Parts: sequence; C-alpha cells; structure tokens
Amino acid sequence: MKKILSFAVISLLVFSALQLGLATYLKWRVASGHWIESVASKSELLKQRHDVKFILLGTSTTQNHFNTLWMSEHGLESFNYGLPGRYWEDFPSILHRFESSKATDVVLNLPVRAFLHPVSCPAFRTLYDFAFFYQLKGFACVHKFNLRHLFPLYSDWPFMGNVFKPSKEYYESVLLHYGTDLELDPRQINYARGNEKRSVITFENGDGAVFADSVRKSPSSRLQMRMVDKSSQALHPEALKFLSLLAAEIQRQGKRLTVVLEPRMANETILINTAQLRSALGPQVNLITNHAWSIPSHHWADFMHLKPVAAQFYTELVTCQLKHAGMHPSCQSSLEKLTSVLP
Amino acid sequence: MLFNSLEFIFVFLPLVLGGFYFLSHRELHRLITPWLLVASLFFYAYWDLRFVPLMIFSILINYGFSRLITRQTKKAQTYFIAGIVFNLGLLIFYKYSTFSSVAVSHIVLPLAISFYTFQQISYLADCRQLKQVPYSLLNYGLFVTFFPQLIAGPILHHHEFMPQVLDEKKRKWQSDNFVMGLNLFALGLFKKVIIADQLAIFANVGFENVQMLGWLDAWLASISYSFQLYFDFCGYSEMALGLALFFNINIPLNFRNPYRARTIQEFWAGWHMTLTRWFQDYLYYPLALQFLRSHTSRFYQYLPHLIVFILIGVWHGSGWTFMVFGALHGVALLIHQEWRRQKWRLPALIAWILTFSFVNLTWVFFRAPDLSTALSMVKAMMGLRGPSMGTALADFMSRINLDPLMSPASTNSFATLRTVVIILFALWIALKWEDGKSSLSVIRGAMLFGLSLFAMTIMQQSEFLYFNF
Repeated sequence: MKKILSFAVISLLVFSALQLGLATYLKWRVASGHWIESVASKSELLKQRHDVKFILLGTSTTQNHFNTLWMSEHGLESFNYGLPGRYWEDFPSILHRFESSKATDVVLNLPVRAFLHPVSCPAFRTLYDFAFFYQLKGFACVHKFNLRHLFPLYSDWPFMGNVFKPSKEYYESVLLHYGTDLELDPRQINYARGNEKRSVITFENGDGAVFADSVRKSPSSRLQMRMVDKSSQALHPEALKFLSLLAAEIQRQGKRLTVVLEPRMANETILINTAQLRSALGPQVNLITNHAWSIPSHHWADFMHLKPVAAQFYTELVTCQLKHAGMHPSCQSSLEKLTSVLP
Repeated sequence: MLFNSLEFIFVFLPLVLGGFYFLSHRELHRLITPWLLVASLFFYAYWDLRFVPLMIFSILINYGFSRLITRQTKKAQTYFIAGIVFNLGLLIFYKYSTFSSVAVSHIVLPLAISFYTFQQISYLADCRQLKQVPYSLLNYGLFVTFFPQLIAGPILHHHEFMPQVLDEKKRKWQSDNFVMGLNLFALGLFKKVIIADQLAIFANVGFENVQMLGWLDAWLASISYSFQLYFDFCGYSEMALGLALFFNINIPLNFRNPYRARTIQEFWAGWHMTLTRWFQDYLYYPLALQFLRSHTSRFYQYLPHLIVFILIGVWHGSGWTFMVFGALHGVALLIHQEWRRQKWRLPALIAWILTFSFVNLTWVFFRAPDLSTALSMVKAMMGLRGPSMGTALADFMSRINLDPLMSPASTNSFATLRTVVIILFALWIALKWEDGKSSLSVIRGAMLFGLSLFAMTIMQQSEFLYFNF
C-alpha cells in the first residue's frame, strides 16, 4: 500500500511541477508580447492591460475586424477578445474570466444566424461551463464532458500550427496587393500563420488581420447576393434564453453590455426580427445592428472576413456607434467608407 | 475508450476496479464475471455502438459451435469446419471486401474484429481437439471481450485466461500485482504519449509528401515510423498487461525488444508474439506436418514459412502492400535459414544493422497507402532521386507544431535536429529498456506516469495504430 501511495504522490508532484512550469512559461511569453490564439493566453494578455474599459468579445471576425489601438487613441480604451474557432457557446467561461477585469463594458459581437437556431453544446472547458449549460439544456450536453478540459492549460494549446516568420517579400506582397504596410503598423506583429493563399497576422495587442483573395477569385455566381428575410419569424427561444443568461452574468459583474450584430457574409444577408431581440434584451442593453449594411465584394478577404482596410472603416463605425450608443449622424462618414462601391 | 484518455484512467478504470474488489470483498463472486463482462461491453460500445451487436452475434454463434463440437458426435468435424467458415467469412466480408474488384464502400471495419475472430478460432480448434472443457456462456463472453486485451490484443489463449478467471484466490487484493500493474501501465503510457505520438508527426508528414523527399528525409521518415509503430503497439500491449494485473490476471507478453534482433528470426521472436504464436500453432505446424508427410524436397520445407508470412501480412489489412510486406519477411526468413545452414556468421553490429535496415524497409510497405508510394519512398531512401539530402520535409517541419516564440529563430536544420534527437532517444529506449515486466522502480514508474499525464492534458489525443488492423 505504501508503494501505491508513493506512486500517486510522486506522479502528482511531477504532473503539478510540469503544469506549473508550463503555466509560468506561457505567462512569461505573453508578458513578452507573444500571445497565441487561445483563451488562457488572451486572458493573460487582458490581465496585463489595466486601462481597458471595453472588452470586445467574439470569434475570428472580432479578432480581425477591429483595430483596438485606434479605438484606444480615439477615446475607447478597448481590448480585442476575439478568438478564432470559439463561438458563442464558448463564451460563458470566457465571460467568467472578466470578473477580475476593471473594464466597464462588454461588447458581444454576434452573427445574426445565432438567433435562428438552438444553441449548440460547448466543448466543455471548465466546470463553470458545465453548470452554466445545465441551466439552459439540463443534461443534454453531458456527453461533451471531457476531463481534459478541466485542466486550464488544455485550452491554452502551447504550440500553433502553420506559424511562419514574415519575410521582406511577404511585407512587400501585402503592401502591393492589400495596401497595408505591416512594417509601419504600430501594433507590432506577434506572429503570422497560414500560407500563400490565405494568411493571418496577429498583433501584439490582441488584434488580427486576414489577407486572402478568395472572394476576388470566386466565380461571379458564388458572389450572387442571397437575401434571407426572417424578420417576420420569431427568434429561437433557446438562443434568446442563452443571451439573457450571458447578459445576466455580465450585469452581475457590474458591467454594461452592448450587443453588436456583425456585418453579413460576403454573399448573404439575413434579416431578423430585431424588435423582438431588442425587447428580449431590455432597456439596459445596447443593441447595434450592423448586419444589413451592403458592403461591396472588394472589401472582403474571404467570405467571412473583411480586408484590413475595410476592417479599419468598420472599427471607425463601431467606435462611433459605441460612443453614441447606436447609429448617429456623425457615424455616417465611416459607414459610407465601408459601403462605398468604389475600390 | 482509449487507454490514453483521462476518462479511462480516472473514471472508467476506478469504477470497474472498485466494483470488482467490492464484489470480491462481499463474497459475491458469482457477480464478478457479469460485472467485468458488462464493463467490457461498455468499453467497446463507447467507440461505436453499431459494432456491439456484431461482436455479440459472433460470440453467441461461436459459443454454440463450441458446444456442438465438444459433444464429439459424428458431426463434430462438420461443426468445426462450419465454425471456421463462419469466422473467416465474417472477417473476409468486413476486412477484405475492399480488396476485391467489387469494392463495398459502405462497409465499416468493426473495431477489433481481427483480434476477437482469431481468439475464437483458436477456441474452436481446441474444442475440436478436446483440449478444454466447455465454459459457461458468461465466462466465454468475458474471455473474448475482457477489455484490457479486446481492441488490439495480446491474442489470448483460453487456457492462459480462463483458469485465472475461475480461480477465486485471484479475486483477492494483491498489492504486488497492483504495483507492477501501475508500473507497466505507466511505462506503456509513456511509450505511447511521449515517444510514439512525437515520432508520428515526422512520419506522417513524410509519408504524406513522399514525392518531395530527399534521401535523408526519406530515412528519417521511415525510421520515425518504425519506432512509432513499435512504441505505439508495445505501449498499448504493456498498458494491457498492467490493466490485467490490476485484476490479478497475467496475460502474455507481446513484445520482447524486437529491435535488438540480429536476425529476422530473432525479430519475429520478439514482435507481436501472440500473433506469431497463433499462426505457428494453428497454421504453421499443421501445414509443415502435412508437407513433411507428403514431400521431402527443401522447397516444401520452406513453403509453409512463406505461406504463413504472407498470411501474417494479409491479416494486417486488405492491400497489396501488406502482402508484399509479408512476402518480404517470408523470403528473408528463408534466406536466414539457408545462411544458418551454411554456418556463416556476421559481426554482431553488422548483423544488427542489416536486420534493422531490412525491417525498416519493410515497414515502408506496411505504412504506405499503395505500392507506388512505397516504391517511391524506397527509391528516395536508396538515393535514386539524385544526391539531394532533401530539405523540403525539414522546411515543412520547421513551420508546424513549433512554439511561435521559437518560430522566428527556427530553421530547417533545427527541425531535422529535433527529429534526429527524438529518434536517438527512441533508439536508446528500444535497445536499453526491457519490454514488459521490467524492473521499473516505483519512483521511475510514477515519474513516467506524471510526465505522460501532463502531455495528455496539453496535447491532442491519438488512437493506437493497431486499432486499424
């Protein structure tokens, strides 16, 4: 029995020492400006920013559509918490991490499609997710439970795929094809990933940018705009309930919530019942509807993401909307730049 | 459920062990077999529920045949043949239907079918030869499904398993067995998670980009795969051994340092030993005896070897590559026997290098998706694509799976160096560490376990290679 106990204690010690070592290494790495696209890494980056007032939460579109340095320089001290591959069912535990932040506002960036379907089960990250989803779906998501997700470092995959060091030729090519001079960008490049057809740049402050020309190279038939009018249809009750649970968590932390309906995809516009959404959210939540603007195809890098130049226009528009709690005549010039049909 | 998953280690296994020792403590021995049987079926169903009815069907039919055979009526031989036809028919239908020109694309290979079919064929054969008394259906079911060995062996013989299950003394807690089980499980987990899964990165990239490889790349990729396969399967087998020991059941060793071998015969004496034992007992001996009775020429002495090795190759999968793999080993064994007959000897180091290089070369056929890819890889290894050492693979490797912090500084040579270091580490373990019931100390076992657990919490889970066979 003594041997079995020794086995348990020693293996636990080795395991804990390694976890601690890796956690310390990751923390040091983020402090040196080298964060990676994961929950733990972005949370650590947020922790190191004491001046943040606005946290922009969302998926890859949030990471790549905002220039938070520009927002901060224009009066909105903000942090980009967009994470590729993380959808709104992953938000509960992320929101839970905002508790210690001094930010006053959380800006949830959501695609309109989210309100038309039931909420998916999350890949459980923490016990908090488990409890949160029990409120929404009972035991229906229990099959997603995986012990690996209980370890905080699991969500911080320490190695990234397809990472490369941008070369001089890469910078020149980006300047030539996208009009973006990355070498002069004050946000400083963290790392690049991808390939010649599609690359993603992440900046040291948490922002990102997508360089791709898949929309430009698509046949015109694929670019045919599809209008889906669901405005007369009721929103999905589970989605509304989930949003209200997220809102309750944000309000419990004493923060204000703004919901931004994200720009449509390059070839599809979906109209939803925004009146129902507004009434479900209540007067304390600010709703910004950017989902129906007609953004021309030359602004899109791929079907989901705007090119960096258009992302800058979008940043200006949202900054203005956040300042005025919605669309305001002074935001018109930014909107015109974003929707201008002239390249 | 994977042995290298946290759910298995921290939920399934403690529950099953807890139930086992609880029933034993309360003297509820009659419930132990049903408990282990249900746990094993759950373990299997966790993969894919669809495969469970087929396995149960196979168990019931085989059990029925075994009862009919042991009655020793005039029809016993007919029942025996019918049982063999049933088993082989099932195996051929599910495993080899894609080999024929009329491929049945919608058929999914049921997990572990090769293993549990062979185990049941040997049982029927022993029933025919009156080598055993019939067991109850529950005990027979447990013999086939016992979860530590169900998915990828070792292929058990009923006489080494059933007496232990029926022995009530074996149901008592034995801490020595438990400690040895822990050490073996830790050793196997380490081999799988820390060594095999790391080598898999280079092997996979190499075999997926064969056309890009220079000779150095090709050698690195093929050696990576040789070690990946060994550590993956040996790791699985040692975990199975350790798990069975938790229940005080000894199951046979499947590997005994095959990469130390200096001849091809030594290699097969240490590689997948329970499979070679099966082929030896149920195919080679009957065939050899048959040929010996009817022919005297040396050709007929060698023919059973060749047939058995081709069938060992084909057992692994339906493809020409597996057949070539088996044939190459069969021919190598014949050459070895002639060599021995001439009493020629080679210096030990040269003999080891020759044997390892040959085995490494044949694993190329085992791994490659088709013959042309395999031949392309062999060409690259022989330097027939020109003198280029090849940097394409290293260049690709330098871009993947690296810490972004390291990435700006990483170079092709760094990626190559990393692979060489892992291969040398693997070689050192393959040559220096004893497989199986090693003399691992509790401290070393616990450290390996802690390290493997750590890797499991930060890395992607991967299946064992032999699950495909």
